[in-house]
Amino acid sequence: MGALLAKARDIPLEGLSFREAAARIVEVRAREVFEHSEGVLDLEDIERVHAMRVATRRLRAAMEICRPCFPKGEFKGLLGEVKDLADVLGERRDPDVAVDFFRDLTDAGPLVEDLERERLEANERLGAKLEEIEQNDLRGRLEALALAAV
Amino acid sequence: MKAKKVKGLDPEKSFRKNACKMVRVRLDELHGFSPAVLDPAEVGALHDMRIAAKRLRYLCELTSPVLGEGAALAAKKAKDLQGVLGDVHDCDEQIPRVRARVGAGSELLAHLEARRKSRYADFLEEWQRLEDEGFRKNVLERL
Repeated sequence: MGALLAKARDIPLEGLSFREAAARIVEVRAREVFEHSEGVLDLEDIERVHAMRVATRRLRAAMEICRPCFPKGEFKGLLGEVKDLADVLGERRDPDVAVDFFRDLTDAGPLVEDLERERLEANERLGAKLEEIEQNDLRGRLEALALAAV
Repeated sequence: MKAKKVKGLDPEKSFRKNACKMVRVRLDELHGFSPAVLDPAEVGALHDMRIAAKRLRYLCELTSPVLGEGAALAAKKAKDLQGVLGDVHDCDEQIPRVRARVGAGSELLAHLEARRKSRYADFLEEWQRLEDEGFRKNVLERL
């Protein structure tokens, strides 16, 4: 299910200039991030946070690929914000994966306890980050950046 | 690892033309970690190669609709490399932690060390196959 959720859309780019393509790519990849934001704080369904993390990494990669097409100042700040979001999602995802890996292995009890604690702390940071990006309208500013390419 | 700058990109030119330049540079970047990665102790080079594979993968996934089968091939192989190098990296991250928290003689540590060895061997096999098949040349010829 997670893999399906995280699948990126194909973006028709044939015949476009780099600038036109960049606008389309960033618009679509940014939209995908926010489409995956629902339910990511649910600790029972670890695939949701994974899907949003993958979508965020794709957006970051797309922005880096298309960097020459955007106004420098605005771009740099937004790329930094996307990287921060990816980091916070990663801090939540990493213990999810580790807990899953260690749970049934001999001797791993103390480690799993540490990881469960890290996971809860990371989830709190993720909650705060989601609130922050909602309040500062990261989505709207990314849409505006996409338009600024053309 | 900071990405190598791609020279000569022009936003007014076709996306296809610019994408070709980027794929060339990212392919070179990936190959730049060999022969360092042939040594299993080169943890830093293996980690950086994983990042290079990820960059190549995302670039080629994005550009394969315009660049065709060369980019699709590169995306597939880069994804495979990223996966196996990710497993090696996870072991490199967890082994010191397990050693400190659970103990040097633990079954868990032995399990992780065996997994690291096995996934590194998988990586090596995959990388050598790509080199033998002329991966870079095959991709570039089909762009």
